[in-house]
Amino acid sequence: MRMLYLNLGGCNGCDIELLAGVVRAMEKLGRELPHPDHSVKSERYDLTLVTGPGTLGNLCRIIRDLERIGKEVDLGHVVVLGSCACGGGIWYDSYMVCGGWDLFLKELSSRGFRIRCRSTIYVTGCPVRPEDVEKVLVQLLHNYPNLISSLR
Amino acid sequence: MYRQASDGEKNMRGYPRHDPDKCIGCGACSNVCPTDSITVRVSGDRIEWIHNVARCIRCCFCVDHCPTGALSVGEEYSMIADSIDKLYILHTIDVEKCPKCGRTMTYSVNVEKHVASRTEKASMSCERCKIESLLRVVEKVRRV
Amino acid sequence: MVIKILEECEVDPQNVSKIGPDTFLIDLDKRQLRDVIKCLVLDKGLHFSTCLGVDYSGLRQGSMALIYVVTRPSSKIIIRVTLNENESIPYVHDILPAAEWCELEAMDLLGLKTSLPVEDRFILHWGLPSKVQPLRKEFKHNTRLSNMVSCRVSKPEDFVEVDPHHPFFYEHEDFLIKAIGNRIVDVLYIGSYINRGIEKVGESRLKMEQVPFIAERICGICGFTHSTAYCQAVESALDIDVPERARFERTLMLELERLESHLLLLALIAYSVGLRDIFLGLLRSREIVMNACDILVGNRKMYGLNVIGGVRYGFETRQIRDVKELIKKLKTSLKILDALKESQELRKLKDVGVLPKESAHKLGAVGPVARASGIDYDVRRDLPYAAYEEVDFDVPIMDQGDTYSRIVIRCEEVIQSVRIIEQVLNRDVLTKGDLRTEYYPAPGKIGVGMTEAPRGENVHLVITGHDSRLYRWKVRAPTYANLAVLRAVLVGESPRDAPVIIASLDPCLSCTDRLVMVRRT
Ligand code: SF4
Ligand code: SF4
Repeated sequence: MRMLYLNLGGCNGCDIELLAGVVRAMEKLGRELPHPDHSVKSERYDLTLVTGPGTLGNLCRIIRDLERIGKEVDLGHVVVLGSCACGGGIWYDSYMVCGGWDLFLKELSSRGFRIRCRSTIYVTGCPVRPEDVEKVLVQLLHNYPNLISSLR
Repeated sequence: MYRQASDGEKNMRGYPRHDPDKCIGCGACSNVCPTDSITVRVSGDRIEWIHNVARCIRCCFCVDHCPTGALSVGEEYSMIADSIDKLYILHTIDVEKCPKCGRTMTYSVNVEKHVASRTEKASMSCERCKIESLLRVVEKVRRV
Repeated sequence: MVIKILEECEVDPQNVSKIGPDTFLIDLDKRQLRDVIKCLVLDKGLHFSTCLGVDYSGLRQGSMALIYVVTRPSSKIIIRVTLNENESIPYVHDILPAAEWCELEAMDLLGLKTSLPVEDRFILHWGLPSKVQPLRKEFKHNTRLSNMVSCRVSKPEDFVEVDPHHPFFYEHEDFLIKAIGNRIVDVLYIGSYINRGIEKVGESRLKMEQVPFIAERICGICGFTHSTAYCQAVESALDIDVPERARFERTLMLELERLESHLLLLALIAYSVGLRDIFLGLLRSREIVMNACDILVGNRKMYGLNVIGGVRYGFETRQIRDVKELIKKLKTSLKILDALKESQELRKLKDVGVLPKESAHKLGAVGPVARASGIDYDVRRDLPYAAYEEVDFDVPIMDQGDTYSRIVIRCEEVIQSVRIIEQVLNRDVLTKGDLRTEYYPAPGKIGVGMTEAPRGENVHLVITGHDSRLYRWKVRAPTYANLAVLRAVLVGESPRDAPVIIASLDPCLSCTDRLVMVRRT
């Protein structure tokens, strides 16, 4: 299993809660999760975790990575964490951010990159709570249909 | 102001809970929200109260400013969905009609509950009716 | 006292005005600036905090200004130099390296002219054209720039990247080192990946009363200290008294936050030197602190407690009781810190990455980094705010200046924080009294708010504007000052130690990168 973890310039709150949530999920699953990549290094991932509103600096970083590996990447299941990543949060219309994961993807696809996501799950909260991270990760890795039916 | 949990219960500052039966559609919440995630607008003869939970940062500043107590600190913190469109909350409330001419006003019907005296009720009319009645008075005064 | 020092530095007393109980505003002529700064900082030993450029065209007749903030124990001095639009700016960074980044920031973000040779963009280096000057008043905060970026920054060939963070917890930032053999010979830091344009949003879209929420989100580790510093800046600008209850609540939350931050850092250090048990133990103690915050304010991190003039909610006896229980539990689990201090792995870090006292002063280091090098300065004690005057605590100082003492000093601070929290929790004032004071906004007032963030001195400067908005808001996060020492501590060390040396500075990049720079450090 390959995991990707994209910090798109959030305030760190979500990242720390994510750490707490992942530790809990590993306890519950009874196995270690692989160490994630922090930048796009492969063409295929099984699980991608996203935090942060998508700053222009990080847009450039991802573009640089994508150019290195080719124009296509499959991100697998994408879990979008936190208000920033879901909808831009408090800086949704600032000049330096794209305003959330959806707009970030739009920005990438307008430059000709093809990003495929098998599914996208949005976990809101500022910051996200570790309980939610745990719930989503455990079910995602365990019983995907169950997760989808339990969502809103 | 801030939800106090009883013993043993988790004390969470969730996203605001909106009670359409109390909301007068004044838009105070949408003015103070630091993320502009609440929209209050008149559409036809309904008032739409729309909350973008995806962007909401759970500060509950809107709750502090709601004049009627329609907003309260919610006990639910997270909303998880597999599409961004499902992260909106939409409430519609009937709009108040002008008692004189029947045109729609910018407040919801709930405003009735918050208007105390009969004189206040009588003075409730839409801008146009107010101006017309004022003009009538001016006209009368001029004739005298 | 201050007046005397200013006189000795040949400042005309007519230009000095007292704008707050401990704040002085000096209007200086451009030609005088260098001499005065040199006299104040280099000769008299005052602490240089930050500088900023202001586009004054919305408040007065079209002019620019440069503002320098110099502090010393018990007073804050604001030096203002007014310039014309096309005048080239004076600079002091050749005599005072600590001023370099903020002067470059002013040139870049306001497009001020300079007689120095300047590489084109320092802060917005994503290939943005130089006509993008975000802090000018005519620039709209919601301008879309994404079609203008050309992403042309590339890493220099002979540098390699170091990865100072825990693998699961990573902000993108390039710390590049160049090593020959087993020695680091050069350090390059590429920042600004996390620039979110916070200052501009706070000056334009948000009203003054909403800004505490964005200030809190500058950083997910030490956010509350930012919102406190912001509120203090406005409170000092508009002369607002904060009720006693609010001051104690702020103190309580600030110290809980310091615990959160230090425990996280110590846990990460334990992980990076290979002490996995201590790592997990420290994270568990940190969870206790997070739960205490959850009980008090209903959220684990973003407290949302501060407003200008006080706080939003009061605490109840029930909450205080529960938190007292948790703190008791925390005290037992903090025994693990002794194991960390004694450990063989940490002792190896003695005499690694040494920062001598003189260079710490010259480079403007703050917080635990400075205190580990023997600089005895703590805002909590020297410029007391919130309720720190009414509680008892010690400021630990060490003078070796090595990585080991930077870590140990944080262990000591954790103990002191617990001590403060216990004292505050025993005060009755936490549960009764006024929460906030009403205030009336007025335009054109300047205020400085300072707090001791977990990472050091944190400075917010505000100029109020019309329409109950801010005119200018400047944030100087502690990491901004501390990153300047990067080169001093890394060069000459072995590349293997680089991650833990960088971690011992506790860089918090989301604070720093609200606006940042690319620069050889
Ligand atoms: S009544 Fe309350 S909820 Fe309704 S629009 Fe006004 S502030 Fe918002
Ligand atoms: S909780 Fe805060 S962000 Fe959410 S709707 Fe209310 S004011 Fe806006």
